[in-house]
Amino acid sequence: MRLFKKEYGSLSDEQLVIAMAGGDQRAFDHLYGRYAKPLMSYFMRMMWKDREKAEDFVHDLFTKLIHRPGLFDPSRSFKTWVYSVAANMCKNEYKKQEIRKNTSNGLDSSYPVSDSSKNTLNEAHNALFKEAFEDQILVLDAKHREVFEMRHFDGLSMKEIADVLQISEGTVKSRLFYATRYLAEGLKDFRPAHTA
Amino acid sequence: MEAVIEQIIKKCTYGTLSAEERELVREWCGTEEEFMRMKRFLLDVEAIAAAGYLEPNRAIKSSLDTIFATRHGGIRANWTPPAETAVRPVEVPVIPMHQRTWVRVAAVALLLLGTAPLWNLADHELSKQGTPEVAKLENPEAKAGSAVKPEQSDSVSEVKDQRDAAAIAGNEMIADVPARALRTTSPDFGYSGAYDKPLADSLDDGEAAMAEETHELGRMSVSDAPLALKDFSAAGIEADLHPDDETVTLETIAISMADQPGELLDFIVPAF
Repeated sequence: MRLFKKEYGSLSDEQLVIAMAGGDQRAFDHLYGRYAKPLMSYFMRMMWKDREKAEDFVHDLFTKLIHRPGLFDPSRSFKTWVYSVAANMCKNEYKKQEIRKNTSNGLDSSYPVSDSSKNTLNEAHNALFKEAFEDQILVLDAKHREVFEMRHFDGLSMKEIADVLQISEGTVKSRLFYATRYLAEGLKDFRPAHTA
Repeated sequence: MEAVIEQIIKKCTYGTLSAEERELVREWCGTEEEFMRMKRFLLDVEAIAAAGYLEPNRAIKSSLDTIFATRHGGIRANWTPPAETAVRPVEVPVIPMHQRTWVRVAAVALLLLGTAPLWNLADHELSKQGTPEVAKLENPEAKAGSAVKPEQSDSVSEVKDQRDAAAIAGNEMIADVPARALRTTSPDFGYSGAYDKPLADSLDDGEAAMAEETHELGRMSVSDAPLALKDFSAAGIEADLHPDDETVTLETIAISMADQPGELLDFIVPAF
């Protein structure tokens, strides 16, 4: 018998997974709320901006988590584990497809580009930069691009990236350094009208 | 470390960097121009990331809820309905009777109360057994070869009282024959209940008759100091029956000739 309502927001990801494995619906709701959007964005980047495929991957990943929560080792970080699973799903998809889609030739209408201030000038700048950035990052090889996107778009730390990709932290640092220098050098001619 | 470098590049200007900070960012941007270029790049990337994540379709969440309900069916104690269903009463979880705390406590108490009489019975049985060293007094009405009756324990305590009384009066017949004194080749000759056992099983035929006779004699005169008489007689008989048996030892035999000397003489059986 519980005297106090459980505060799911204060629970860690690992605690939520354990509670979810025991049949706690609310724990699953919180876990979904934490990782649905980041994973959706991740799959959008990895699946050539294919929204339907990205949503299918999100659905499959959480379905796997519901049916087999024992796959997750509570001694590990859930964040690194879920991104490892997502990365493996993408690799398997690449093997199936064996092709690389050429995606953005223009602005993707489903991808939000406006900032919170709704400044028209900034919106235009961000949109243009985004387009140039996507062109430049496609030139980068996959292993460097993956590290860069995990660091800057998924918010993973060096250690977490190393755990997800099963490489050393030193390798992560060197790849991130190379990708950052390469992209910054490639976009040096892009001069924004407004700098934050 | 890389996170620190990124923060320094994003937040600071090149002119305000300390020597240590410049040393840190030197690998990323050695000159001020490179510093500014890297600064703009990182801020623009941050803006793209800050634009927000994409939200999956609501149908995905509905489908996952259905899968979860199928996987973990039934009423879940921790489940509470979402806000839009607050007008409906919250479903009270059904807890089986055998899982309720008070039922379990009552069952344990009932078991303890139900077995309480058995505790007293066990203690009573232990007190009845008494000490094994006390020789059991034969029941005069008991037949030869009969099993030891439970009421002999009362007779034993009675005999002990009688022995104590005789010792005080000074007219005692003490047969201090420890159990080890009676160790013989005859396995059936025990200290207690000897008269109730068939001695013929362990003795020769000729001696069996004699043993039977003395066995009968041993049953007589049990009123005053029957235990002592029997002990003396038994040890004496055994010693006489097995004169060459060195395992038989009589440590102390003190006989008072004051009482019934005639009967005592009857127990002296010649060895030949």
